[in-house]
Order: sequence, then C-alpha cells, then structure tokens
Amino acid sequence: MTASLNEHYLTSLSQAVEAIQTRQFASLAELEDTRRLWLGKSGKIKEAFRLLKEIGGPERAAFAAQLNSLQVNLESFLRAEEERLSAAAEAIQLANEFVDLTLPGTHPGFGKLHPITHVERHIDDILRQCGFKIVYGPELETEFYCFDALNIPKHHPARDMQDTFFTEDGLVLRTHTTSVQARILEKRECPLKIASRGRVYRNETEDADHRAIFHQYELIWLDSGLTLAQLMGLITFILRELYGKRKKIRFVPKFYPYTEPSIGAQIEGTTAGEWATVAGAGMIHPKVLEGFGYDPKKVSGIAFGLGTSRLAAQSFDLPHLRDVYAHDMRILGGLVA
Amino acid sequence: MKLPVALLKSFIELPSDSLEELRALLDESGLEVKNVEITNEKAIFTIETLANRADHASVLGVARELASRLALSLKSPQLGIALTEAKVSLPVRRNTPLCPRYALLELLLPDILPAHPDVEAILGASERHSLVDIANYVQLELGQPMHVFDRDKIDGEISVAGIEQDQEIIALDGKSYTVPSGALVIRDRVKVVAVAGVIGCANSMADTSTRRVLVESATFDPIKVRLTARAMGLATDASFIFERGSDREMIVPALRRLFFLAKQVSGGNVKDVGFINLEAAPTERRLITVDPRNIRKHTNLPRLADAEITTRLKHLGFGLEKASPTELLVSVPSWRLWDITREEDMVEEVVRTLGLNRVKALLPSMEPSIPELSPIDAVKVGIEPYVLGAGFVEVITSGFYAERDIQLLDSLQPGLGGKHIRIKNAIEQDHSGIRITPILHMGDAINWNVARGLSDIKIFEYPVLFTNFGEFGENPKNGGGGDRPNNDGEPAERAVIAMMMAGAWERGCLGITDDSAATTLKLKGLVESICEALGVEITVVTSKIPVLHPGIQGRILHKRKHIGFIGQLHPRIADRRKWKRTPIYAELDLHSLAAARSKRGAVTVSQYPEVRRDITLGIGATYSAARVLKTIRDLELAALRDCEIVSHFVKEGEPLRRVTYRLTFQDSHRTLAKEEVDATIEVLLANLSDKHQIAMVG
Repeated sequence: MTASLNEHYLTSLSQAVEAIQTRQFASLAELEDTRRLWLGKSGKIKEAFRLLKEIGGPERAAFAAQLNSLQVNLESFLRAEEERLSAAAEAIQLANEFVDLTLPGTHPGFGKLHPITHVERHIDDILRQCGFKIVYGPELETEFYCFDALNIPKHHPARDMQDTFFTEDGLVLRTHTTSVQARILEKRECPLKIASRGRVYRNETEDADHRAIFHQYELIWLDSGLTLAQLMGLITFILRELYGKRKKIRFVPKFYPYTEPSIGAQIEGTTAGEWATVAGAGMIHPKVLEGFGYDPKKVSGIAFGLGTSRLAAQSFDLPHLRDVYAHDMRILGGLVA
Repeated sequence: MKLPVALLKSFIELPSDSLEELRALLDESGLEVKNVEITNEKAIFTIETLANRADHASVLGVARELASRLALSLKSPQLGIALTEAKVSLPVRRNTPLCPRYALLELLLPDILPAHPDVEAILGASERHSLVDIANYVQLELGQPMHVFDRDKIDGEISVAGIEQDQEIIALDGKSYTVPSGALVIRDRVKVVAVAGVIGCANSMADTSTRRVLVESATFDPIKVRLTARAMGLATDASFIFERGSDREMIVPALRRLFFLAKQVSGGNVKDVGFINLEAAPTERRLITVDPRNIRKHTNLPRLADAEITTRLKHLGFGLEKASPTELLVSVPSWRLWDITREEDMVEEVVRTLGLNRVKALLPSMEPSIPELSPIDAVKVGIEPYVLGAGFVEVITSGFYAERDIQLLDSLQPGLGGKHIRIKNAIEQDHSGIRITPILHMGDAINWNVARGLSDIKIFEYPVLFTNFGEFGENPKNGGGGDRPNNDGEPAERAVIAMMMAGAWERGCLGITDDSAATTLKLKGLVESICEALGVEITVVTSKIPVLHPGIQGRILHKRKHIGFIGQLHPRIADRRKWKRTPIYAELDLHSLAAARSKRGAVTVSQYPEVRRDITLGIGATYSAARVLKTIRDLELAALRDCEIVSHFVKEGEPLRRVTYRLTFQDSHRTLAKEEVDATIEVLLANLSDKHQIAMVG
C-alpha cells in the first residue's frame, strides 16, 4: 500500500469510528454487534492491524499508533455505552421488582401464654430461687389424700368449705392442691421443700367470680424448728416479690384443718381500708404430721397456698374471675405480662 | 352471722365508736366482716366466722374474742333467779348417748305476752310468738339454740331417740322434709315433734294462742346433726351451731335468760312451772400444758411475758391451774372443748389475741440451690418457643362435659360416651362428666371468636385428661401415663399439649390461603419441629380416631408407641355444635415426650461430596407416602444417607399422586461414582415395586 492509500484508509476508518462515537445505542445487543464488528477477532480494527505487515519504514509505526488510538477510543466509548445501557436496564429491572413494603407483613401470629401460666411461672421463679422443687399430683384424688390425711374427717364442717365433686367411682376432684402435700408427706422425707400448682375443683354454681375450676399454688417446707414467724417472713418475701415492695401486707387468723395455727395474708386494695385475702397458710397440723409418721416434737412444717386465678386477675387488670377464663382472643392475644 | 353492733356494745365497752376501727379489729381477730349494713342508724355487720368455731356464732363469743384482744372485761347479761325445782308435767326420756344433755323448761304464759323491746330493737317486729323471738334473741346473745313447743300439742311424753325409718315431716317453715332413718328426733307418744338440732315440726309449734310451753335447750352430737341436716337439704342457724359443737354449760343459763326476759316483758306474769335437766355425765375437764417458750419462739417475741400470755388466755375463758417458767397448765373452757386439744391450739389462741401483726416475721435462711425443673415443665419450656412462635395463644377451657357433649362423642363411636368418668353430685348440668379430650371446649373457644369476626385462630392448652380406656389408642400404662398411673383399674390422667386452629396459618395479605390440607400439614410441621427440638423421633401413621375426620388424620408414634395424634375434627362435631369452621387439631402426650426426649450427639460431616437424586413415584390417593419412605429408610442401602419427601402433586385425571422422594447419597471415605448411585436406585425401585407395587412416574 502506498502512503496516500494508507492515509486515506486511516481517514475513512477514523471517520467511521467517529460516526460510531456519535451514536447512542438502543440496546446492549446492538452494542455487542458493533463491538464484534469493530473489535472482534475478525473486526475492522483487527483487519487493519493485519495490514501493518504490508507497510514498511517509519510509516508503519505511525499507522500502528493511529490504529491503537482508534481502538482505545472505540473501546472506551463502547464501555461507557455499555455502562449507560446496563444502568438503564438495571433501573428498569429494579423498578419492575418493586415490592410494596408498606403492606402488612406475613407472619404466623403472636403466641401468648395464658395469664395464669404467666403468674405460675413468676411464682416458680421466686420459689425455685428459695430452693423449692415444683411437683405435680393427681387432680382426680381419693378422699384420703384430699381430706382424711389432712385432718378433715368425714362429716366435719370443714368439708363444707370445699364443696366437692364426687365421681361415680367414689373418687373426688381435688378441692385444693394441698392433696399433693399429703402425697409428698407420705414419702416421709425431711427436710423437704416442695411446691405444687394447678387446677382445683369446687362443686358450686358459676358466676362472674366463682368457677368450678380455678387454680392454686401451694408450698410446704418440712424441717426441724420452723416457726410461725418464719412462715410469715417467707410469705412477706414472696408477696413483696409478687406485688412489689411497697404493697401493704397484713395477717389475719384463719381456720384450715390441716394447719395450726392458720393464718391468711391480705394485701391492701386500691380503696383505703379494703383488704383482699391473697394467701392462706399455717404451720402443718401436728395431727397431719403424726398421720404420716413424723414426730411433731422433732419436725415442723409450714404450708402456704395462693389463689393463682385471682392473682392473674389482679396482675392483668381483669375485673372478674370469669374474665381470666374467657377465651376472647382479642383479650388473651393482647395481654402484656 | 349477722352481728348487731348495738348488741355487741351491751357485752363489751368498746374503746371507740368508729365502725371502721371495729371492722379492722374484727378482721384481725379472724371474724372477717363481709358487709356493713346501716339501717335507722343501727349498724349490722355480716361476719364470716371461722369454720371450726361454734362459739363465734353468738354476740357473747365475738365479745369474748374482742375482750381478750383489747384486755377488757365482759359484761354478762342478766340471768335472773334460779329455775324452779318442780318437775315438768310429762315424762322426758333421753334414749341416746348422742344427746349428752337435754333440758326442758315448762312455762305458763299470760294471755298476751308482748314483744320485748330489746328483742324487737335487734330482731325487728315479727308475727311469731314473742317467746320464740326471745328464744332466737337469746341464741344470738349466748349461742345456745332453743326450741319452743306448745305443751298442749305434745302427747304424753317427750323422748330423744333415733328413728329407724325415713319419716316425712312438715317443719316450722311449712315445708315438707324427709327425715332420714338413723336421724335423732324429739318425739311424743305418737309423732315426731322436732328433728334434733335442725328444726322443729309444725305439729307442735307455739302460736299466738299458746299459753303453756316447753322450752327445749340441749346439745346433740355434731356429726349426727350434720348428716341429718345434709340429708334433709337444710342448714339452719341451730344446725350451724350444733354441727360445730355447742357449749353444754350454756344450756341452763340460756333457759334462765329466756325466762328472765319473758318475765321482764310480762311484768312477772310468766311462771316456770317445771324444769328437767337430763345429763349423761359431767362436762369434761380438759387440761393442756403449754410451754411459754414455744409461744415466744413462734412469735419471735423473746420478751413476751408469761403474764401477758396468761392474761389473754384468761380473757378467752381458759383457767390457769399451774404456772412455771417452762410450763403453764391451763383448763379448757366448756365452749372450746370441740377444738382445743393440744399445745399447738393454745399457741394459736395466744397469737390470735396478741394480734398476728405483732409477730416479728423472720425470713428463714435458705440454701442457695435451684432445683431442676420437673420433666413435664422441662418439656413445656422446650416446646413453647415453637408453639408461641407459630402464633398459638394459650387458653384454659373447662374440664367438664355436659351430657350433650358425652352423647356427641358417643355418636362418633358408640360406647365412647360411656367411658367418661361421671360426676354423681354436680350442681350444674354442664358438669356431668370429666373430659377425655379437650376438643369440644377448644373448638367452642375457637368458634366463639369466629362468631365475633376473628377469622384465623390458633390456640393451645395443657389440659389434663382423665382416662384409662385407651379411647384414642393411647396406652396410659406404657406410654401416655399421666400424674395418676393406671393402677388397679383406677382412671389415669394424661397431661398433654393440645393445639387447635381454624383459618389460615399466617396473617398478612399476600398469598395467604386457609386450604385445610395445606394447613394441616403446617400443623404437622409444627409437631415435627417440637419433636425434633426435644430429640424425639416420630412417625405418623394412618389411624381411625373417632373424633377426627376419617380421611384427614394420623397417629403420632415414637418407637411404635402412641404419643399423640393429628387431623381435622370430625365434620359431624362441627355440624352438631353449629361451628362455622371445622378446626384442625394435634395432641402430644407430655409424659411420653418427657420419657422419649434425648440429647442429640455430635454430627459427623463427610468431607466427600453428596449426590442428590429425586425420584417421583406414583402412589395411590389413600396410600401412605410415609410407609414408602419408611421402606426406603429400612432398606439401609449402602451410601444412601437420607431420604425425604420434597414434593407432592396431584394431577387432575391421574389416578396416582406424584410424590417426589429426595435421595441423598454420601460416603464418608470416598467420592461416589455415578454408576454406584444408579445401581442403588435400581435396587431401591425393585424393592418398592415388590413391596408396594409402585414405580417411578413422569
């Protein structure tokens, strides 16, 4: 090739490249076609490089330099175009992938424990720290464990305190968790610190504040030398943990056949002068201890029971016992412990 | 008990007129004031007495309690002169030891016995014979019930004896009662005139025309009175006192007080024409030794003086027979012989009169050790994150079934209703039996909410179920044993977690469906998660549990033992209960889970690549996909590490379901060759064809 031919060739090549660089590609495919046509192995720039071997002398270097420059410029332009097109495509894609996150999320719902379970677990925590082991006992009981073993003989008026469900088989639905106490005492262990909780049953007409089924929590502690003052100290500690340090507590005499002395713990209500009994307690009756083979001169016991249903009503601001056992998901699902 | 404050003040000089202070004092003395009623400036307290204290059922008893608390003296009511020594006008017999003392006072009344102003002021005006009002008033004052007979209606004699056959009576209240055989009655020669300790009969009651009366004052055996009153369905003021034990020494003073008041109001025109007092034996004299150091120990009051202890006891009526620093010998008053038997009782007496709030409470020292959770509680703690995380809300439903509930279950499987444990004395009809399953009440709870517009409900409960009959295939003795083991045919108790739901699994607005098949599998997924978390391997097999939909149910087994079941409730239940939705239910036995839990050992991971192959098998519509899975696993083919079901598809028009099983091959020592895997699959397919007559499809 002559020098003038070379120059002409380069000029037309440059003009073609400049023409490309004035374009705006519509798509990445179009851009790729152009890249292949100009920069591919068989593209026009490579083809021009192949002409170098036909050029001799100093013109060869100048020709090569101009070709390199053309290639670099074209590559740079195409890269920039590719980026522009990719960004545009990405923007479209992202726009198409829009999810309206202002919509409500999908979830399986919010599980909740029942207010009574909350209260029971709270008491569990307090009592386990004090070394009490939680045990369970049957709800369908014999009269022996529910009454006789607890110094409530047949036909004693104390049985009136606990209207009882009798089954046709002669068993009873336990009227108090104290029946568990009887079963534990039977094992004749000492010292002994156990607590029990769960459903208890009373055969009475149901209304807003009386249920045939409600929940109790009870503990017994058997050791040598336990005293009434210690029982009251323990009750005070537990009630302060449950109701807060500032809640006023007072004790009143009670009668329970299985404890002697028997006491009730009351907390001051929201109205001054109003007190609510929240717990019954006492020193385990010597007759009960003797009945299980303990010597009351050597072993004494304290027992303490709480109505967890009422405590749950108080804790969750539910006005009636009936509300504690209602199944309204709008209430149960929304309660905050 | 109704306590007129004015009457109380006639027995004790209260330090203050404040009703609030009096109320607090009574509360702290164990006489809880339930209500305060003020009428015409007269206050009447309703008090709840302690269940063992008959003496509290009188103003005297209450006043005595306060006197001891406040260290005040009691004012005794006027008793008047001694009663006549003349005999009553008819023979009186006490034919039973169950009546330790029986007294009759015969009075001759004027034509008109006006109402006593003190009595009327307290009890109000009445149309009864005014002597009957006086008797009631004296009972309120002194706690001794008395009964007034019209002497002219008594035929020949009075005797106290048991009856051998049930007997119908018409009582003072005009109602008819059956007096049970064995009851103690008062009778004349021809008829029963009173049921001892409970109520008098209309046939001998005093009316306004009565002039000659016999006033009965006695004591009767507490248990006999209680049994009789219960059998008659009666609870009277008199039976309340006699059931708890009345004061034998109050029998005669009460008659004297009645005579005094009657004479007073009649201007001396009432005459005591006869008196008899039959007594089995003198009242017991009971002595109890008290160590004052024990009282100081129990109260944590080391400086509590013996003098204060004895003073308080004396105010309560106890006699001090002997005193030393380590021993007080006290005699028990007649009105406390029923409940004071040992030293501990005396401790209570002192503490009560001191005031419990004087005791210096002392927190006992405790070893800092936290006991382990019980197995059941440990299971609950283990599963709750999954159950709560899945959106289940805990409920507590009734443990009872009404007769209609039992009949409904019986309609699903004849005989099922008969397996319920029945309550024989339920007051409410809804408490006819105790439940063997919680499904009815839980379903009611769900549908109660559905009826209020809530669509998607998930609830769970920890019920105790009462059974030993294996109604649902469980074996309480060997697998599902509850707190009451199945010994000697006694009913067992099963503690379970019961989960029930209706509606969609998820809440939200995108792609939420409440397709019951899909939701049942989601509930099953929760069951599987729970069991996996506890390390309990389970399989679910087809079942025939009557309370579930016959086609949508499965039994959950661990090592071939029943530990629970899952499925949709039987549509008939929803239909009969008029539920808008038929819930899905799953139940797991907590004791079985506790027994089966295991800790997972360390997992060894092979360094060599695993090969996964999916095979899709054509399986009949009701054929168990899990059985096929079990067969594959049981083959224990070399290098087949795991197999799971990953897809299930029913194509319309195709008789077989397409179930895809993912086979995972891996060797711990080398990379498996394609040919080995292919050969293993061939063996597997041959086995499936042989055992289940199934093959690959698609």
